[in-house]
Amino acid sequence: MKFRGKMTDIMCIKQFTVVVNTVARLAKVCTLRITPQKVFFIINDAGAVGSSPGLWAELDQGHFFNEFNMEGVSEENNEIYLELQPDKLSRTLNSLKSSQSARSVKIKLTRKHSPCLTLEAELPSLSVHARLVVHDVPVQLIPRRQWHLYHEPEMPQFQASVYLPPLRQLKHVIERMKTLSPYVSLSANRRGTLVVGVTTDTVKVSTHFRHLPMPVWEGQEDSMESAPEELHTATVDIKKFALFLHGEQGGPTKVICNIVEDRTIHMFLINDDVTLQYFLPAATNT
Amino acid sequence: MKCVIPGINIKVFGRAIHSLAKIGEELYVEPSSKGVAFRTVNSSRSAFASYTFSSGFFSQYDDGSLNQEKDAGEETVKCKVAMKACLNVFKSLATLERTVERCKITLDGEEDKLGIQLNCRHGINKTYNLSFIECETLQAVFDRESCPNYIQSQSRVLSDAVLNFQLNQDEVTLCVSPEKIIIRNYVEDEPDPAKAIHTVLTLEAGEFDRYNITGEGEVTFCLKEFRAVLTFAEPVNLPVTCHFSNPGSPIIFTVDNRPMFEGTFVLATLAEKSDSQISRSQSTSKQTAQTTHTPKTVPRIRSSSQTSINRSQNSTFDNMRSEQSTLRRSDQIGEVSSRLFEKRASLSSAHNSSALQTSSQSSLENKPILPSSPLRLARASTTNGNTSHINMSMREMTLPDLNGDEGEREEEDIPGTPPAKRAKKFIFQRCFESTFNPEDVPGHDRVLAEDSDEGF
Repeated sequence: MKFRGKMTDIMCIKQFTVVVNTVARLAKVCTLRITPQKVFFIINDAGAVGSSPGLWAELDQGHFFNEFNMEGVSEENNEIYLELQPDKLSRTLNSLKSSQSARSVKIKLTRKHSPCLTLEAELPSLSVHARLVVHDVPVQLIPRRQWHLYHEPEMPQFQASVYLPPLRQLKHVIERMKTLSPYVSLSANRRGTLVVGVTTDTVKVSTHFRHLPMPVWEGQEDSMESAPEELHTATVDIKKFALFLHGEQGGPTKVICNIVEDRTIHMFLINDDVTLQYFLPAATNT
Repeated sequence: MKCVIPGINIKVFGRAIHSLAKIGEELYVEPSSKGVAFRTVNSSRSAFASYTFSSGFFSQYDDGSLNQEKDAGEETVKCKVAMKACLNVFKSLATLERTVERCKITLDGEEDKLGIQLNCRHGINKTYNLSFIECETLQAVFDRESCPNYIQSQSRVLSDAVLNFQLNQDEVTLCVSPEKIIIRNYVEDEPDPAKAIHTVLTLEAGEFDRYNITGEGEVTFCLKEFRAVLTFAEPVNLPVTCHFSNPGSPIIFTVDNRPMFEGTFVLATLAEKSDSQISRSQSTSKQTAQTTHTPKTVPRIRSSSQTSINRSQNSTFDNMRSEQSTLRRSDQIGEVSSRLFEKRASLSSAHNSSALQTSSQSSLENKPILPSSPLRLARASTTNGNTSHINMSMREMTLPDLNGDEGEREEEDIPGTPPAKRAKKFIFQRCFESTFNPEDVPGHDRVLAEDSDEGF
C-alpha cells in the first residue's frame, strides 16, 4: 500500500486546507479514501440518514497534486481507506499556512511509530537554506471488509431544489435565529423561493429569499408539474446548519439545496475541482 | 527609587512586563545604582526571567541610595508585587504607545507602595499604587560562559520555527549537530505516543547569525516560556542568543540591547532518560562522582527516580542506609535526587570499599571547578553577606557543602523531580512477568481469528 502526493501550487494548498478545515468542523473522525483519480473525505456519522454518509467531499487529484502516486491493497481493489482525526490534519495544515505559506507540501502514507500521514513541507526561509518541517499525523487503516460502509450517497428524491443565496448572507441570518430556537425550518418551492424560519411559543421569524435560480435536474421535470407554489419544508438542527455555513467553504461557485420534505436537507457545494455533499437529517421532535 | 521612562521607550517596557507575565505571578523589582531589574520566576521554579533596564533607558533615574545616606548601610528597597496588578497598568500596548508621554515609577519604602504614574496626552495623569512585599534578591545561579554551545539568530527565524508547533504543545526538544538544528515536539509516554502528532523541523546552520555547536546533543525545554522570549524579541527585532550545555542543565536565552536594556531567560531542561543514567552509574566510581555533579534540573518532569526504584529493588538497601548515615545527616532523607546520589555512591562502594570516600572527596574537589552550573535560585540577603540557596534543581550540588557551612542547608526543602510516569508501569507490571512465557498458555496455537488481509 503506497500513497504519495505533492502539492506545489499555493492556491491548491490553501484550497486543500479549506476542505480539511470544513471537515474538521463537522466531525471528530473522518475517513480519507484515496483512489487513483480522486481523494475523498467522508464523514459517516454526522448526519447519517440510513447508511449514507453525512458528508462526502470529492477532490480531483489532478488539480491538487502535481505528483501523485498510489498503490492500493491489490490490483482489483486499487484504493486506500484511512481513518483519521481531521482536527489534527487541519491544525497541521494551518500551521503551515500561518507561518509563511509553504513552498510545497508532500503528503505520504508512512509507517513510523504507527501508520501515519506524513506531511513534509518546505518552508521559505530568510536565507538560501531550505527549511524542512515534517509532521506525522497518526491514522488508522480501514480493512477491506469495512469498505462497503463508505459508498457514495445516492441522490435523494427531493421535492424542491434551489441554489442557495450567498452563504455569508445566509450565515448572518442563521446566526440571529440561533439565539431564538434550536431548530430551523427550510422551505422551498419550485418558483425559486426559499424561506428560512424559526418558530417558538412567542415568536415566529422567517426570512424570504425570492427568485433564486433553480438547477435543472434530468428526469425530474414530470414530477415538477404539480403545484409549483407549494412549499416543501424540512426542519433541522440549527447548530449543525450554522456549523456548516460557518466555514468559507473556499468560496464555492454554486451551492444547491435539495429538500426532501420532513426527511433531509441535502446540500451540494460545487467548485471547479471539489464537490462537497452534506446531508442534514430533519429533526424529529420539533 | 525613582525613574522616568520616556514615551518612546514605554512600549518596550510594556512588552517586557507582558513577557514576564507569561512566566511568573510575582514581579520582583530590584533597583541598583546601574539600573532596575525586573524579574520573575514561575511557580514550579523551572523558569526564571529577568530584564535589566540601565539608567540610559530612563530619562531620569535615581536609585534612591542618596536619600538613604542618613541611615547608612541600609540598601535600596527590593520588593515584589503581584504580576496581574502590574500587567493591568501596561495592558494595551497600542494605547500606551499612542497616549503616554512619560511614565514615572517610584518605589517608596516608607509607604510600601510601588507607584506608577502615566503622564498621558491632554494632561491626563493615571496613577497606580501597587502594594508590595519587601523581599530579598531573586537570582538564578547560572553561568552562561561555561556553556559549550551557543547559537544566535534573528528572533524571526525562531518564531517562525515555533509557529509550526501546536499551541497545546508543552515541550520541545532541540537536537543540535555541527551542521543543523532539529526541533522536535516532545511527546510524553502517556497517553499513547502513537496517537500524537510528531513534528520535526530542520534548520540549517546557515540560518543562524552565530553558530557554535561543539558536538551533537539535545535538550528539552518548555515551549511556553520560550514563546515568552520570542514575544518580546520579535517586535523589538533583536537577535536571540541561546546558551546551553547538556540535558538537565539550564538553557539560557538572552536578548541584548545594552547599554539600554538586557533580557535573560533561564529555563530548566529535561534530564536525560533514566536508562542512560543507569549505564553511567554502573561505570567506575570516579565517573559516578562526576555524574552526580552534572545537574539534573528537572522541573515537574521525569528523571532519575526510576533509577532509584531499580536500585532499591536489586540490592543492599540496608547496607546503603548504614553507609549513608555515616556520610550524611538524616535531614535530607526522602529527597528523591539525593537518594539517587546515595545509591550511586553506595553502588560504587560495592565495587570498591573505599570508593565512597573517594567519590565524596572528588566531589569536593570538583566543586570549585564547576561553581555554578546548576540553575539555582539564590535568595541572597546582602546585609549579612550570607547567601542561602534555594535550588530548583538538584540536591547533589549542595551535597559537598555538607562538610562545610552548616547554616547553608537551613533552607526550605523543595522536592526534587516528581517520580516518572514510567515508574507506574514498573510498579504495576505483572509480578510473574519474568517467568511468563506465552507459549505455555494452553491453546496458544489455536487461531480464533484470521489475520486481516490488509497488510501495510
